[in-house]
Amino acid sequence: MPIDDGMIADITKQMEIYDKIFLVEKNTENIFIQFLNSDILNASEKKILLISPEEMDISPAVDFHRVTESQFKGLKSLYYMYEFSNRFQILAGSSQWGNLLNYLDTGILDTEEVFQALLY
Amino acid sequence: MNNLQYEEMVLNVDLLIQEHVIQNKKIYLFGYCNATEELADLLLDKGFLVASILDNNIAKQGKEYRGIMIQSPESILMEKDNESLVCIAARAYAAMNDQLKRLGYGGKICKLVDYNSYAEYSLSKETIFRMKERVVRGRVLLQALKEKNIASYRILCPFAALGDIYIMMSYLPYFLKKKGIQECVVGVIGNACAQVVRLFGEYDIAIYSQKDMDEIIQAVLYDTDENTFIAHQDRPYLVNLPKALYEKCISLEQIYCCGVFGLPIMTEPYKPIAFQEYGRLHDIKEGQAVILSPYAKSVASIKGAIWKEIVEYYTEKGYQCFTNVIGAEKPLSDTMPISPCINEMKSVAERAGIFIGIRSGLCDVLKEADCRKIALYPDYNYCDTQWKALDMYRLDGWENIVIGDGFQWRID
Repeated sequence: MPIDDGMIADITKQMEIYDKIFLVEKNTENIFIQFLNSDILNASEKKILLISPEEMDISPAVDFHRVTESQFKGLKSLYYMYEFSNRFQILAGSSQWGNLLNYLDTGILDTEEVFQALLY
Repeated sequence: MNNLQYEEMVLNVDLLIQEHVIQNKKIYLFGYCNATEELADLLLDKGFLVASILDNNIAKQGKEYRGIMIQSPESILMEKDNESLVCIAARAYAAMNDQLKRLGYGGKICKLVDYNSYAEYSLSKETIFRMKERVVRGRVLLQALKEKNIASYRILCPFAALGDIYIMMSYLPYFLKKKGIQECVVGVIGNACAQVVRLFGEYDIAIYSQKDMDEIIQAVLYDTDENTFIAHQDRPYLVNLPKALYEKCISLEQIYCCGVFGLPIMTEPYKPIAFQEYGRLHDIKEGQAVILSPYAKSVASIKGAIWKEIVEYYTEKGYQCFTNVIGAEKPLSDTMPISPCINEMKSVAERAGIFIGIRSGLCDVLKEADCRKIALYPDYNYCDTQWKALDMYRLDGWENIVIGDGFQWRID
């Protein structure tokens, strides 16, 4: 997947500004949409950016940056290529490795605790 | 830190000395952990002074290691950039380097060990190219694994820690059943981890170096290989399970059962089935011996004086004392070396009657041993959390003892 220079420049600048950058698809798990509208996120002092190829209903506490499908795929590709930042994260579950949603499903954590954990 | 990593660290320190980078500078270390202790020891042995160890964990700040104060990372800002440098032997080098730069520190930051080949906080064309090449290498290794085990689902273990492998294997059958998987191959790093897998039965095993395992896993991530599962509690970087520990204490056992595999909280772990008898059990006085295990790769060590007390205590009572050693490890003074294979350790501990070990993966291997079992916990925090090692790794059916300041061995 080609990675364009403009996208690199944008994300580099965004990582200077934001504490957390979440990349999200619209058909991601509902729990993440809830997170993006949660009181916990609203109350967070962190500067948070959401990047998505689709418009999303999210908390006004979160900045939003819309990207093209191609740019979205490019960012995903980078994320799975290596860890280029600890501020950037894709909000999605996975069947290939353990993740916080398993704690929710097994009752180890409640929803609020998962939301707090996502902000670290 | 394993031997290869230690050698890498020594080499890099020597390079800093040869290139006159480190002389006449105030030396700071970042990240208080076992690896940083080893780095501090190395620098002190070479006659250098260490100004401070920086750590984000408030629970660690204010404590000392060999007279070196542990302080918040902001402390570095008191120094002039050209009069100081920061040396990092901890795993989170990329994040630490990034943090120091964001704080405004402009001095030299030296990476002394490459622990984490997944991370490089750069989006330069050169970095992206190099990381893409790494994925390509991983694809070749993954393809070879697929060709050798055509019908098999793949379980990959990204880190060579015996305890992680043991706990993972004890829940793996439930996970495989949940997914309807009949056959799998388990990829591990090194022979010792392979031996732990074999304790649980006849699994197909693929053994890799750390570098190769990192690259295969990166290829799995990049290509979304849905017939591979990465069975670890905090590696690689996409595994967000550790974030839960900032909210709640979750034992390592529960992390694997519930977090990694998504199994119900009350799932009973499988027990190993393939232990064997050590061929020299006759060397051990039955019920009158102690097996001591003072060494662990990634755990802060326990002072020699404490082991000396333990050896003296049991020797006075007429017990034989053995030290479990591998490779170049030396037995404790006044003890005999013993080097059983992992699958023989249970027979050795049961024959002796008493096992006393630093809390490490070997203790997990001995969970089912029918003998007196004592686990010693250095007093440290788990990673950068508020939880102590005892909170995370407590063993049921064992005497769990924390070695704090002023600890003295007093046990009947």
